[in-house]
Amino acid sequence: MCFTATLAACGCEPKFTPPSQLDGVRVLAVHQDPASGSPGASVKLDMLVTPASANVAWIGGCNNPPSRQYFACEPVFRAESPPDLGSGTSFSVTLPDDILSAAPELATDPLHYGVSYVFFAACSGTITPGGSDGFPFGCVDGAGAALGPSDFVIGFTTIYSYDGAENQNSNPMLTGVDFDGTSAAPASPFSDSAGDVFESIACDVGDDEACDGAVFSHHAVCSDNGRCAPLVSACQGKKCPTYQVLPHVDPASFEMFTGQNEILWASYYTTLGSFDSDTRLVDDRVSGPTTDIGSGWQAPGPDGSGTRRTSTIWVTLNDQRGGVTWASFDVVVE
Amino acid sequence: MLGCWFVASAARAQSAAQPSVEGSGASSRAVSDPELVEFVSAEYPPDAKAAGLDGDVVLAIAIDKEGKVTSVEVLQGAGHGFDEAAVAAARQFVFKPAHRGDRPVASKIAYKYHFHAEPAAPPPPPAAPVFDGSVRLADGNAPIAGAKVRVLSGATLVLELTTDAAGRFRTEALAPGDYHVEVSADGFEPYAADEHVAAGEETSVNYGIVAKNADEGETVVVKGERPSREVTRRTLSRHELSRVAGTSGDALRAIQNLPGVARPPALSGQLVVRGQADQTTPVFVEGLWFPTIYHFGGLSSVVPTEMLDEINFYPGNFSVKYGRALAGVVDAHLRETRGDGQYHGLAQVDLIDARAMLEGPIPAVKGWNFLGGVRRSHVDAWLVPLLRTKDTQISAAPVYYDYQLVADTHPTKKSYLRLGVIGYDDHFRAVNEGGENSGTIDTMNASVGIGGIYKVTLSPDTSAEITLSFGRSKQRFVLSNIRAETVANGTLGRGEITQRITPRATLRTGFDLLFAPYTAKGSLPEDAGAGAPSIGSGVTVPAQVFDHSSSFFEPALYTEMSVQPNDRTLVVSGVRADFTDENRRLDVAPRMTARYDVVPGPRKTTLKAGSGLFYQAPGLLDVVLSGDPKTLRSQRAWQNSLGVEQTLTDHLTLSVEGFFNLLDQLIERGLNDQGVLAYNNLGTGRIFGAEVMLRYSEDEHFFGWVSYTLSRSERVYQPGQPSTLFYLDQPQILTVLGSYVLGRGWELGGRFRFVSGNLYTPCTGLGPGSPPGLFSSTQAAYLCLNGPENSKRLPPFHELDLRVDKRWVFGAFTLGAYVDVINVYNRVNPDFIAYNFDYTQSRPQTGSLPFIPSIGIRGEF
Repeated sequence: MCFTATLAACGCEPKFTPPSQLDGVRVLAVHQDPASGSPGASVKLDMLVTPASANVAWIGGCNNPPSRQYFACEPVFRAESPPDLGSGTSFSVTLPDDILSAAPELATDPLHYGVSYVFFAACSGTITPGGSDGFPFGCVDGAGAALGPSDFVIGFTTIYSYDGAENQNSNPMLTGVDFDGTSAAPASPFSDSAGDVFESIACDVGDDEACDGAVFSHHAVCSDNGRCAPLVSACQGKKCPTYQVLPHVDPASFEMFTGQNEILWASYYTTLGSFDSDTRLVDDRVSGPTTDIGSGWQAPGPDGSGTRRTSTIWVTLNDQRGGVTWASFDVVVE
Repeated sequence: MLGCWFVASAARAQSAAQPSVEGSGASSRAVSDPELVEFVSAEYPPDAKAAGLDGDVVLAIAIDKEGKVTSVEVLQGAGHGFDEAAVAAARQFVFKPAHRGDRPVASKIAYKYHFHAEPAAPPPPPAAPVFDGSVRLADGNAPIAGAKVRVLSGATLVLELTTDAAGRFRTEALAPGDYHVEVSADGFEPYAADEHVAAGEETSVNYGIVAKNADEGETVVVKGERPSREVTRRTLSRHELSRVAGTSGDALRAIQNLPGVARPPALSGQLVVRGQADQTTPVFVEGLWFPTIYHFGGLSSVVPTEMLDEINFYPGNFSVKYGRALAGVVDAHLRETRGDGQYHGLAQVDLIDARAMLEGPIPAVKGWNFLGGVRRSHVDAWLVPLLRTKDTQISAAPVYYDYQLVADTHPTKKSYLRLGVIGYDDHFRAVNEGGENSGTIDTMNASVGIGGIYKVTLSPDTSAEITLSFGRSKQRFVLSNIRAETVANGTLGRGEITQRITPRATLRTGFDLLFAPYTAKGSLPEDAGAGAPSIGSGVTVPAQVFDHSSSFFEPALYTEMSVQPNDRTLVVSGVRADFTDENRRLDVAPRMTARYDVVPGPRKTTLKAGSGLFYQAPGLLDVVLSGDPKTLRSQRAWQNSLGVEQTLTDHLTLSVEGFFNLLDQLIERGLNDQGVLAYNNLGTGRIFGAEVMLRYSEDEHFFGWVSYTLSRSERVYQPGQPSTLFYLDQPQILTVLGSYVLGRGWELGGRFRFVSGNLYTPCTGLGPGSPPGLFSSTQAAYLCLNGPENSKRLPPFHELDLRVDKRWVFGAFTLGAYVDVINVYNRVNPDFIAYNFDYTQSRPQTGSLPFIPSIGIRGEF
């Protein structure tokens, strides 16, 4: 069946806008700390949203709903006093003490677990209470008109609480990202297993000399975001080199889950240019860690302005239990 | 003048003074043979007679529409004056002319005039005893009307009888003595028996014959829309099946062209019958249950056409002989060996696979013949480069093979024994880089079984049949976090005794046993139930895991009575009781069908109707995922049908049938009292529609049919939910196909299909101002925010396929080649809706084949 599905997918249909291409408001990941819940625990959520200026709202408190599915949380939204509301890219939720004991135990479950849902909205305009068909948030522009999908993202994150210490999840970790064979000096908000947190080399916008000491695969300049970045040429027709973006995965990220390898995959995003693969498999359930996990990035074509443009690249590393980490760096295109 | 030659069967006469004449060979199925009604003996050439010489003269005799001989030519002379004598005699022959339908036509026959100098056999003794009996279908006991019963004394034809509408014949014109009886009917294997007719006694016999094609030596029979045995039957010869354009000659795929069978989702290999899902119409091959009938979901059937004898297809209201099926049944059988003492072989290669077959007598084992075949795909040689992309790494090329071996014998004149082995194996392995579904793809599907069939006629009124098979099947499916592995060892046994109680009443009683120890383990994505909002495809959602070993033990008993209160009416009623050990439940299913010839005769009009209950026990996944299979009952369908058949000409028939089926106790997933998703029997549904088939049965030039189905299939998955269309609902299905023999070995065929577009559920969002997708950060993917279930339909499917065949005959060796052009005008048929990552962009996408010329070449001897 899969063979035929693969065959069917080999058609020459025109391609959609790839998910790696960032245009409008996008939520790329929600980091949980700790990566899995437990009775009475407080879980801190950090959202990676682009652009960073987007407004974010949260609502939590939907614990072990009927069917254990997110769509059964609607009564929580309709409650007059929902237990948890928040705004901004960070949000904390406290799980109830019975998150595990109140969860059903089914013969077909791989392990006993409880589930808690936190919903969110990200909006380039103003977030309003009361959205469509029971969803608690809407998104309007300055004139009060509802904004569309490119300005408004709704979603949820699932906090699993697993029974048994051996089943607790850890977020996967990165130890660096290479751009075209050399470290891209990325910024990462989360530490690796050695406790290291990457810091991009800061600079003042327009002060390229501040980046003279930075070692990249290409000449370093200061990006519009105030980070030293490699400078590459815009894509010129057929002369369009591909630069390999390669994340380095902390070996501690390769965990086991229910007796098998936990699946890991890397996702790639860019504000300008394009990736040849949106996602790459990092740890296969069956065969374990893979080696070819990078993705090729190509610069955008010239825009005719003759000015430098900054492309911000994100690499997220996800695991199958909702754990995630990310890193980002800039590339300046002229 | 007819454009064909045939060798007429003719009476044999032997005399010292009179020559004998004889003929042999296949008769045309398009035109009734001219019948020699006035034979004139040739004068035996005196010199030849004196020398004791025999001689055979082959003549070409042209006969006009009046039955008169217009010319006689010598095709093969014997000299010694035989030629002239034969021509002179033949010019005086008088024939009953050949007929095309009701119309007499001119014809030309080859005629062998045999001169034999031996004394003539004694004439038949005076008639006194009664010799009567019936000719029936060996498999099912259906009467065969119009069969020829030739009674010979030694080599002398004594008389020829023709069976009536009830398959009966009778004569009082035989003298006591021993006779050789030859039975023949178009489309059936000839049958012969030696009988003793005693003075003053009535000798009653019952001959069972099996379907066979006189054109190419074998027949594949598809009995479509056959509500019960002997009620309705449609027969497609293997020649027809092998020439249906767009199928590459695949017999099982021909079922998809019959009324009531929907177009399956692209490359899914499903069998969708009367608005019901796959696995509700089980497929049996030689009594062995095949969970999969196609390699790789539709590339090719797991049994090649050349190995099949017949396919019994029951789209509904089938006999109590069959059970454990909610919709229909496909019962295919490997063909019998030719048993002509010769070895025959076949080799074929096309774009998909290569195959070889061999049959003949088993050396040193008298009376046994064998038929064996093997086939292997070679798509791995050319398809892998197409599939291999940066995001898909093929680690094991897609390969399938299958094999069959059959040996059979007639232990006695009234019994038949066949043993067979059949198996197949599919493999494919790759690594996919598709985001949340990243990971290994590994599929394996293999099955092997051994079985036997024994048929015996115990008395003129009693026959029995036993089928027993043992099989082992393994399936593995791995897609990232999704994994399922099953191993089953199945034993299927069937036995049936047919007893003719009176000339108009037949009782059949039988058992049907399934015993299958199995193990199943794996993990499947959480299932929110049909009609629920999307929850994603599963890598990050905690899975449903299972590791289950048990046995399916499902014995069944049935009994069925066929009653003909008069020559126009047939009523078949029966009851079947199925016990399912997994849930300890007994299902009792009464069923009844009836036929009535409103207008009898060759242009008859027949009304037919059927009603009955059909049960299907919980399947493997239902059992292993339910946690407690004893809480589940069998799914149930109440099937009802009413139709009419009209014979328009000898070749043209029209059939119209309406059906109304109610479903309940459907196994679905919903919330239980504890607020937990669980399997229950609360699903219901209804399916209604009409099927029309206008068919021109095969003659020497043409075959074809028009099939149209209008239907609606609805479901209510859980109480309180709205009724929605079933996802495989296809209101209109039109198939027009035909094939025309151009002559000189050329044949041209075509097929056109028009089918309503597939249903889909749009991603509408939560309402005005809502994005159409919901981002699940845990899965790092958007989920479709479903609109009304199956509320949108894609544009219709339509496709034209053409096929050209060419055959060259070199003595006993035949070489054939074909080009089967699929999707001639390269229609891009949308099969599903493809979305971008956040469901803000969508477009119809095809999974159907583009314009592809499939080429094959075949040699046989």
